[in-house]
Amino acid sequence: MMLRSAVTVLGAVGAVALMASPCLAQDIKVTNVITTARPTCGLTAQSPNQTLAGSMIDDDGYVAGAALQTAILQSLNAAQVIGFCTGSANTLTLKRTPFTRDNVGTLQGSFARAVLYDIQVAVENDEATFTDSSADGPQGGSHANRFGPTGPGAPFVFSSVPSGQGGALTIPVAIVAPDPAADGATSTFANRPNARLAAGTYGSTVTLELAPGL
Amino acid sequence: MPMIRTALMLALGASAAAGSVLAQESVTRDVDIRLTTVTPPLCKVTLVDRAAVAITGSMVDETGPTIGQLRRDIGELGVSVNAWCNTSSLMAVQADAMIGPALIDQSSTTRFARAVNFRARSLGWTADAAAPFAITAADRLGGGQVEVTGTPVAIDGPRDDSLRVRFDQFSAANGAVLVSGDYAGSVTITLSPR
Repeated sequence: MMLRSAVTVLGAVGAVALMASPCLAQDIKVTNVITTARPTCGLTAQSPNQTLAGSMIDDDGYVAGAALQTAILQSLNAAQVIGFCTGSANTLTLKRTPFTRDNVGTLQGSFARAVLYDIQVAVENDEATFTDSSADGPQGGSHANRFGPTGPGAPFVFSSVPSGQGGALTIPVAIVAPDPAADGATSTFANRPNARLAAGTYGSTVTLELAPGL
Repeated sequence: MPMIRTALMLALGASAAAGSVLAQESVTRDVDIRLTTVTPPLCKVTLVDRAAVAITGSMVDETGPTIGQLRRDIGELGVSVNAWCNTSSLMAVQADAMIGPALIDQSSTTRFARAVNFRARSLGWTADAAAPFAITAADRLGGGQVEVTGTPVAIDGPRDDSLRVRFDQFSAANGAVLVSGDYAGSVTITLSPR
């Protein structure tokens, strides 16, 4: 009887010990998860304000498509965009506004005062290259795994959109003047073929966005 | 052992909760690159059909009391030019009188003339431009100022329309007989961005 009682007491003590031990393990485990799981991205542009080299138009006053595309890409890459993401399920989104004229006063109807273009951007890690195109505007961001393990990160490289991708412009074209802040998909802009470009200063904004994800 | 399993599950649950809270704290990063470029002000004029400017047939009457004198029925000649300016512009017309072969002895007689005057205009945009007569009505030889430029007219805003260039009011010194030969003048339409 005494023996049974002793066993009972020991059993009770043992139960307390079992309760206390997992509690300590729980605290340590939680701390480790917090430290390693947080996804983070960084993104910088060394020279975010760029002036295109050369003219947007040819000798006949039309948009110099191929030459302009080259100048755009040179300027974007000269901006030296660098970034990193520590998570493995990040979203990379590229969008742009068309070139629009600073003075949007009344123009004769046949002249264009905006130029639409598309580009794509790519960043890579040791295993893969992640790209996104501006053709879908702010929608349809692309998946990117972690990249840029050291320093300021990995460089983003801008290039032409390969031909054959639906709705994407391989060279810039004149369009009907939109809201200067419009950054939608290519299909949302009205084309104005064979229209000369009104003189003036034109500006465009390219936005690259990184949303971190686990 | 059952107690250990229970405690371990609680720990995993706690870590997942903590992880999701921190995921919301992750900040989306973006960078804007501003591209700027200047489209320069340009104008261009292209003659469509040069042959259309030629006076067909003889410039002078070949019979009657005014034989040898400049025909009075030449009327108006015209030519179309393609033109555009991608900004506001100034349009000016310059005209050179039509000059024929040189006279061997210019002082021997007042009967002959070698200069034909005309009016040149550029029409079709928001304002018309014209050149004043290049020579005076009495100038038989075109010895005065042959080349004149009219006052430029202002065109507002970009334009992309053909221009009609018109030539009329052909004249020579009164009663003079034109020296035989080829006569040529010229008109220059100048579009300048402003």
